[in-house]
Amino acid sequence: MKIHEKKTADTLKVELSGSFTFSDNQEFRELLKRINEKPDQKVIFELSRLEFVDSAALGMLLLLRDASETKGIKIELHNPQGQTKKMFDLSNFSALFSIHYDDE
Amino acid sequence: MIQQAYYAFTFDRLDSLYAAFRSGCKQLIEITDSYSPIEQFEPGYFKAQRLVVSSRSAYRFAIAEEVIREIRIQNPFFDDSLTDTMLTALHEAIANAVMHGNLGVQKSFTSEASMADYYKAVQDALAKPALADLPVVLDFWQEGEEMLFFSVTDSGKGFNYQPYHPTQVANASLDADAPNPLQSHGMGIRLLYSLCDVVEFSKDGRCISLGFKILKHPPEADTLSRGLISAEHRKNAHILIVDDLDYSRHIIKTILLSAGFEHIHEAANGKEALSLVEKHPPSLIITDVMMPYVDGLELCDAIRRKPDMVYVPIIVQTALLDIEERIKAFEHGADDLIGQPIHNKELIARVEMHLQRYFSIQQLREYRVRVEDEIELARQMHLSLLPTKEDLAACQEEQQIYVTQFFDPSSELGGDLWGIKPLSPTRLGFFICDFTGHGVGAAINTFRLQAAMPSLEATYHQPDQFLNALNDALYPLLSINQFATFFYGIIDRESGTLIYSAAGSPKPIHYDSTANRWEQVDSSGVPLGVIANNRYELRQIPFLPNDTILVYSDALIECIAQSGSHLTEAEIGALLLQHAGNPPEKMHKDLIRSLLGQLGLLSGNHCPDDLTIALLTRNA
Repeated sequence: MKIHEKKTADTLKVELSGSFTFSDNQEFRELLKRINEKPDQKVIFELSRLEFVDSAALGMLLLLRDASETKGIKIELHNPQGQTKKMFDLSNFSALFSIHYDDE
Repeated sequence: MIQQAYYAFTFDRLDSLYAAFRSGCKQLIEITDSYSPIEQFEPGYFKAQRLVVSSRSAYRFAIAEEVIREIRIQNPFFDDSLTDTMLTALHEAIANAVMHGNLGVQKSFTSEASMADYYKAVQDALAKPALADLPVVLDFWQEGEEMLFFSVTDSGKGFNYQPYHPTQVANASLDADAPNPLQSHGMGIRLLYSLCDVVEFSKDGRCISLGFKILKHPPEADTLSRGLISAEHRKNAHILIVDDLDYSRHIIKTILLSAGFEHIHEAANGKEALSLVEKHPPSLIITDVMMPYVDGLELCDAIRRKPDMVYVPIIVQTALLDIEERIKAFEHGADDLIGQPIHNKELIARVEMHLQRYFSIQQLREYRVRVEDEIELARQMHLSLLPTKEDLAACQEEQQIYVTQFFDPSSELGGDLWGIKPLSPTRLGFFICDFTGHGVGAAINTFRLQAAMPSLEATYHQPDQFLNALNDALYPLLSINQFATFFYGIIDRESGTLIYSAAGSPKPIHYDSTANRWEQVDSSGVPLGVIANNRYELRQIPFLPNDTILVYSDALIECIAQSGSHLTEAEIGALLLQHAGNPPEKMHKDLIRSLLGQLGLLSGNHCPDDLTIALLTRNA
């Protein structure tokens, strides 16, 4: 998976692309650490180019959710597509995350 | 091995002299000479050696250097600071033997004779074959551990030497004009007294023996060792020395023993070595190249063919100058080379470095084997959680439902579990669960689930309540990024329905026999263990005679299929439809076979993740 970060005033935009699996564990945890260092910010995950997530990836996203709950960080997941969207739907992620689509 | 050989060579080609020594010759004779040895060797610490040469050859003096070099090669603990002293003494003794003994030039080189006169006399004598061909015999041997002796024997008339007293020697001055307390000795002999620890004459003065204290006691182990390996490994290491020259083996063995190694094995050739390694599996092998029967390179090949000796370090002794030989050794599986002559510190450094690597690999391998054994045991325990054949047969008998399971645990442990809960003669409960991750953690979670279930038995008849309770039980146990996808359904024959609740498990596929079509079953839901007090929805679909439900773990749709892409639910549904017309036994068997075939798992390949597939078909 590729992680691309872009920072604006109070928002961090993170674009994830490719396959998000267990092997991205280390890199994602480092990202999480960076996010946790700045409470009260908004983090938007752009997922339109994320092609595949496995259950370990869902687990890592749950770590993100925990961070948002404990540190007051606003997390938004944008534009999940294809298999990613299927996995989110299957796991009822809309009950767990704020999920947005550009065309809405 | 050549025990006693005369090796013909000329002094013009010193390399042939080295070759002679290397091939084990004990006696050497120049090709132009025809002298026989005049006496037997003295047995010594290392082999006594003898050179018989002519006056003409000995006069070239290079012979003294060859003798020193040979001693240097044979003595692992040789003190190099003595080299020049011994060389000077040996030159002097050979010069005396040739010039005074064989050639009879009695004038000594003093102030009254010019150097030119002296050398002219020597050259004149050397021009006479009768004198120039007289032999000079050089012997060298060791006595005990500390004394090295040379003797130089000429073929002259001898001389009337006087016994001496050590104080006379000590007082003897090298100044030619000083009074000479040793009347019968020239200045050269006084030089020898000053250089050597022992000077003795025999054979009417024709033979002079020079003794040197050369051998230090072997260095303490801790000065040789770089401490790369533990005392325990040093004690347990078995080192095999393979060399056809026994003195060569002796040198290496002496060094290894002095460095604290205890188990040293010796073989005279590769053939002996190969039978020895069966009895004493070596931790390291040091081998020569040129040997009879099986040579060093063939030995490397044979060792590397033994599966349990692939990692045993092999150090090959080679001539350092021959690059092709060296490359060849590596090509045959040697790990390292060591040049001759062997230097004690270099040998120990290489041996320890390779043993360190060997023992590290061995520890890792042992660790891996132990872990594999434990994982295998855990896998067996994991398998024992699955329904037995009898359990499945009972479903057919009692609830009239034909059940087939396929479970292929990954080489590591995994977090899949599926099971059945016979509730009544008309109701069969079943579940499939997949914990996040692989490995020990995921497997332990399946055991947690198994342990939690009996206390929830009261909820078995209500899938939503069962999932609610299971979530409540797992939520405090699982860390934030751990969860379980879950599906629990009850096939109820009386109502002709499948009632179920789901927590994000892969969508089961329902074969509707009435309409002869397949559909995905909505299994969405927050996985178990993610949020506290989550309430799960109760859902239901019709489930009539001849209907089939297929449940599976995500490996079925995430494992890369033979086509190079993931298998989709649509493809699985299509396959189900394809086999649906057959009786359940055949249909289940063929469908599972097709699915595995699609994934390329039929030829003994395994999916990297656990793969669970279960099929349940209502009897007609």
